[in-house]
Amino acid sequence: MNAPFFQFGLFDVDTALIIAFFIGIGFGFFLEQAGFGSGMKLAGQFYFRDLTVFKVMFTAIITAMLGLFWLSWFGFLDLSLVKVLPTYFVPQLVGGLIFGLGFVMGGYCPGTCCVAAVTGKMDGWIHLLGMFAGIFFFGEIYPFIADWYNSTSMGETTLASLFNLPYGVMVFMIVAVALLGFYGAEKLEQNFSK
Amino acid sequence: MTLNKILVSIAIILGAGAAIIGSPTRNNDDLSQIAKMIETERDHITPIELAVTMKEGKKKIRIIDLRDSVSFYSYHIPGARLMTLDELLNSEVKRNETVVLYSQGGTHASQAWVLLRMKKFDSVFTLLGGLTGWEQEILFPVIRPDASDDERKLLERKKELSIYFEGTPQIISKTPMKKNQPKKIVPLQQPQNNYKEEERLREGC
Repeated sequence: MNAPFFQFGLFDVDTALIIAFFIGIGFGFFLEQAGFGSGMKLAGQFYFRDLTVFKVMFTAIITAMLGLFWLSWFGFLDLSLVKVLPTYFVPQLVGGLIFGLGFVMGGYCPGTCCVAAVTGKMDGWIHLLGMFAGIFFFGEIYPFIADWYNSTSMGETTLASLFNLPYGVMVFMIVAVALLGFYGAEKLEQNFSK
Repeated sequence: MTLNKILVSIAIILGAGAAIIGSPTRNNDDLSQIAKMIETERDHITPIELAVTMKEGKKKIRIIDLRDSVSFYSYHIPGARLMTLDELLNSEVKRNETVVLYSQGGTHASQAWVLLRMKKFDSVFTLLGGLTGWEQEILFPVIRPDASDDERKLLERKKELSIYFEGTPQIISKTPMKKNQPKKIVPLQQPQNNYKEEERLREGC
């Protein structure tokens, strides 16, 4: 058995889209179940009252990372065929700041605002509207910023290649950072929710 | 022990294991498996198989020409891409692609085949007989008038393929044969490679 399944032709584009649909439904369902359909809960992380988002996201990262590492080691998965988005350092840094600003102001990130919207929350709908307006605005100004958008290209960079460390060592370091982060998050929550 | 502690322990064990192992890919190139593939003739495809697959167009194949550029530009199999061995190893050709390698006779292609197999390419083949085989089987197949019924069937197939690939079937008669030259020289240009663009469209982010 070889993964990524799509890359090895186990199913075609149409089937991939159907599978993506169900994965998307599952993703939305669990986001909602984790309480991520509430802007109040999400915004809580910026006041250090509720760091669930941080914990969930970091848990997802280390679960996926350990899964990919070991599946590759056991020969189920070809990591070279897993898509790595190329890094454009400055544009992505600016993009991240805009993203963060929107998150702090609206209380949602793109995925969670969809969850909030479909569970009937008005602020979710407004956020969704803002997101599409932003996409439209970006599309309109893209020709003027295209050069900058493609600047400071670093190619398909990973942390391991950037620091020239073995993948396994980098995996361990990220696990350690995550666990320390979880511990720190618990402490922050205890102090700030009083 | 609470669930959190169990999960933390699992993460630490898997993380520490990863640090000890270092690389997520095991260096277990199974040379005997490669040898077995050669012995059982699963390392090559025949010119007819290639021609039929290309004509049907159902399967995406990456054809790599490993000859020199002069030979390549005088004639190459339609859609083939010129590459040296080194370029092939560092190219964007991916493990999941079906790759057919050919050289004039087959030596270079066989060497490239072994290298790609060691890089864990699952679906890589050499063209049996190389370009010489392609010329003999597809471009200029010899049609004998005294062939048996079974042979005739195969010859008809070859003739059809030969015409499709703009070759000239050689019909043996008492008159001397024409000199073997492809009827049409493929224009001097790299084959269009829409692969990457198409893949990008599919993959998204």
